[in-house]
Amino acid sequence: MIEIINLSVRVAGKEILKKLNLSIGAGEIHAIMGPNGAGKSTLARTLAGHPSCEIISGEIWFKKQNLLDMTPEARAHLGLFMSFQYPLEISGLSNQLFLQTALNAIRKGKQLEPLSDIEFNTLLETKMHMMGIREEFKERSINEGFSGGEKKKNEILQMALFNPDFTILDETDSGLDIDSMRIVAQGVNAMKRTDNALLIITHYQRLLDYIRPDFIHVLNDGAIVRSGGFELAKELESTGYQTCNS
Amino acid sequence: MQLLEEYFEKLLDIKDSLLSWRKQAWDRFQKIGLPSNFKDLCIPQIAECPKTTEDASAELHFVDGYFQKTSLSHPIICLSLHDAMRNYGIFLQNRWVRTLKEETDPLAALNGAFQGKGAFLYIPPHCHVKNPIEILHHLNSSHAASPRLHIYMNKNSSLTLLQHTVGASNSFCNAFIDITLDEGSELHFQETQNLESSSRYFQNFRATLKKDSKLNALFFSQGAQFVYNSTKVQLLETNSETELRGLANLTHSFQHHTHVVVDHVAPGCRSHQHFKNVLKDKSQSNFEGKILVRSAAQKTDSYQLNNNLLLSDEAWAHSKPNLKIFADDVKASHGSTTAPLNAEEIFYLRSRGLTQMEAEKWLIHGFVHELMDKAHPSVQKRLEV
Repeated sequence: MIEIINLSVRVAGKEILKKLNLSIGAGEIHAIMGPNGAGKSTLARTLAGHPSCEIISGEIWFKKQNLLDMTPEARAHLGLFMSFQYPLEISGLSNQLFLQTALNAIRKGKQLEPLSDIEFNTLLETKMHMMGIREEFKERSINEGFSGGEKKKNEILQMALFNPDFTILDETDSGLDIDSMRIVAQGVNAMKRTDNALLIITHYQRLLDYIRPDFIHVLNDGAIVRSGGFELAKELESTGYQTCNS
Repeated sequence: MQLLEEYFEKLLDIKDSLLSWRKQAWDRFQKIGLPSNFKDLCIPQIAECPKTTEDASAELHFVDGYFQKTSLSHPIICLSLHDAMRNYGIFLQNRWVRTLKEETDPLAALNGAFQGKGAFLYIPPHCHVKNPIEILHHLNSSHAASPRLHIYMNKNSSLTLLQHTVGASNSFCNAFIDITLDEGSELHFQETQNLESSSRYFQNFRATLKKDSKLNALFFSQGAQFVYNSTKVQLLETNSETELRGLANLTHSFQHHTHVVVDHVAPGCRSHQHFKNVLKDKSQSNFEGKILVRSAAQKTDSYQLNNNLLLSDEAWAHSKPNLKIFADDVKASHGSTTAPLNAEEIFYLRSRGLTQMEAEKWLIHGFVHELMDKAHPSVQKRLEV
């Protein structure tokens, strides 16, 4: 479903990703772990099309299209979703209006009719209930005054609404207490289908106890240095990333 | 200056009941003089009283600075200044003297000399005016209009005033508004303009607040060649409060100047200022704000903020927030920000499927909404057009 081939990326003049290769099939959950500064978030941001990520070389194929030729919004329309490590607070726009506008923009990109207010509200209420998000969060400005955990829940709420084919969770577990993590994980797991894929970026094994990946990759100094099954997470937890450098 | 002198001499009319006030205002103007940034102002000749009257739905209607008529009736008093001087002079003379003695803005003084036919609005004690009163200014000519309005809010009265100015091309307006808020009174003032890009618009807004009174003013502007808004509010007695806000949406090579002085004279008063500018093209904004806390004004609570959103590399925002504090037990703070749209916020919205243009539109909306939301519904309608 996703093919990353020899991807090299520069940020602010510094090469962060170095000929990275990764293949993710439909129905698979992959996790990328690695020390600080390894390039994990740069990979996530490159996939989503952040303008600060300057492509030196490589290709990213998703649904037979090269993502690198596409704007961030075109990628979203194609079915890619990145949950932000630090979701932004945007004042002056109600969360509900934002979610409806975004969902309808994505539907338009997929050549689907926009949802009516009633249809959208029904969908939103179901998903908010699932994520344990209180009613009042509809009217608030996007992420404004939300706690760290509420912002992350709001990201997963967006994932639940947009129903993407490929999701990147960038450090979604950071700043989450154990109860919130369970709710977030339940939300993510409920979205799992045999024809979509998930890439989890994380420092710690914690989240992986709730969303069990099929494959784990260790990213270090801009390239994947080791790949394995779920057992690799356990090993990393006890030995750290040092052993992966060789 | 010589040209202005000629204009002034032409105006002098022995039958004019305001003649002595005009002369004193002219003297004051000459004392203040025109600052260097006004030297090239090229004030056009003074607008004459329009020969025909126009119908307007507004309660107070001015054409080219001349008060036309009012539909207001008892218990509200609305008269021309000429008529008001005879019966309500007690409320006016005091203000005139103050203007002539203390005024430092040359255009405020010049309005006193060049004023067309001014108006006086009086709200009697305990009168709560339910529906907003509209003031409509039509600037039909390219001559200098000098509308003048004195408002006296008597004890425990309340009122909402909505002022709208419609300017023809090359119009020039130098307006003056003076407001006295007596004990426990409350005034909400909101302003909008529909000017041509060649228009020049100046306004001096003066208010003094007595005990427990409240002034809430909101100035909206879509800009014009030159817009200048000078606001001075004096909190004269304890527990008075003012909220001053402004939003200018600027394009072309428009220049927009906002000068605000809040003078805390008495203890235990509150003031809040928030002025925002959205700047496109080659527009320029200039914000100069001052909070003055006099030595007697203990327990003052005051705040001033100026935010500028730059949507073009060629736009300029100048910001000079300023605090002058002579009391030691006060809360006073100020802030100023000038920035383009946040690139991370744009990316966030685009990653959620919105186009670059949609994302920008949303963020601009986000910037202006907190002031737009405070607009009276009929003002909001005007702003949408």
